[in-house]
Amino acid sequence: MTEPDPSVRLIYLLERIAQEQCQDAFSELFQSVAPRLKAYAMKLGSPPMEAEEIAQDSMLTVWRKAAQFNPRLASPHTWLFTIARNRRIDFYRKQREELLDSDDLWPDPESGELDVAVSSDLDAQLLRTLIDALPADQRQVLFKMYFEDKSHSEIAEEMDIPLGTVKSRLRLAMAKLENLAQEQFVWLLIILTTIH
Amino acid sequence: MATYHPDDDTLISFAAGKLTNPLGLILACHLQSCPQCRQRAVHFEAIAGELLFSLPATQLSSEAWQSMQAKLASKETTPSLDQRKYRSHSLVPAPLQRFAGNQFERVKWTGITRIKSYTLPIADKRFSARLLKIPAGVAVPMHTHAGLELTQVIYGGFSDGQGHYLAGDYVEATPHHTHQPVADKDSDCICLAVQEGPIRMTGPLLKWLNPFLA
Repeated sequence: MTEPDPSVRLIYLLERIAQEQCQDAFSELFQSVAPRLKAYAMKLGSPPMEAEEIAQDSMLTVWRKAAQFNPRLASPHTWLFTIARNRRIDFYRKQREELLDSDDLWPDPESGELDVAVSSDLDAQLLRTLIDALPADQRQVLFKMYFEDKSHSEIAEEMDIPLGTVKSRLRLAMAKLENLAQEQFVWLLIILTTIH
Repeated sequence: MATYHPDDDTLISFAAGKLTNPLGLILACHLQSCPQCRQRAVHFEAIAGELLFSLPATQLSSEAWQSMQAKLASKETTPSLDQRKYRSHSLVPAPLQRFAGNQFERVKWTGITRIKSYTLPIADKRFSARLLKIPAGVAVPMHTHAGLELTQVIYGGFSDGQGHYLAGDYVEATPHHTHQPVADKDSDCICLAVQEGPIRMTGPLLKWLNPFLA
């Protein structure tokens, strides 16, 4: 934990927005987050102007739902991802008049029924370090799996590697991130026990 | 507590938002009843969040901030922001309540045999989804399918020679696998079934029905 964690700033900005509808905080958040969300939508195939609209829809939701953000339940990166994911789905649902929307797929849990915190910010930081440490070929498959609208076999074809290789790279990457998640749990226990 | 679960690849695709069809709906129903898979999905969302913020940013257009402010100022609300009211302790999983009500009271069951079904209005090119109600002890005719068949048990239970499945279980039957599910004797069984491509009946008397089932 040597470098300052960028998500500390995001948490601060989200709190300012939630508590006092701070325009300056929103402006700063927009400048730093919206370009990422646009990149995400473009990766998944949206043309630039649509991607920008999805980013704006997402930021509008961020503005309105900031009070629901709970840093003990999700890192700001994860929370922002789920908003962009849902707004993107709903953007295209509106166009195709599909019946399923993001509220059907991810119904808001009633308060008091939330699961135990699984991705505290410490987790997120460790996860980031783990992802950065993945070999390039595994990271590439991971990115494609998440951010390209393709099946395993389409990914294999595009990268010109056998299907089995796609699957094994994905499995290896996931196993590493899993171990980290478990190690981090031990870490957390160590930290907690030394504090008390 | 569920014994049969979707695999990690399916959970990743769901967390990534790539399943926006009947497959997404059945996953959402399973997650409602399975804290273990919910936890896995949260882990996969956390990975997505970190991956997203390691993507190179794309420059916004010069008027992006201006039109953002216009959106903020307008009073119009996005429809999906209207909070739907779900009953979390209902028999029907939250993602299905819009179609089925809280007690399946909205379902218009149809069927000429004792097995009733209701096709949900959400089919896409690959997958269709329906609710099935099998009376206690009754067997579904022997059948095989061209594609995947996924079943989420909502109420009661059934067996198919390979396993015994209870409420909360997510069962995956692969293509060309012939099976004959039988509902448990002690209660009716209600399932959400998602199918890829048409089903084919293989029993001697029902074969002639195939053209009508496609």
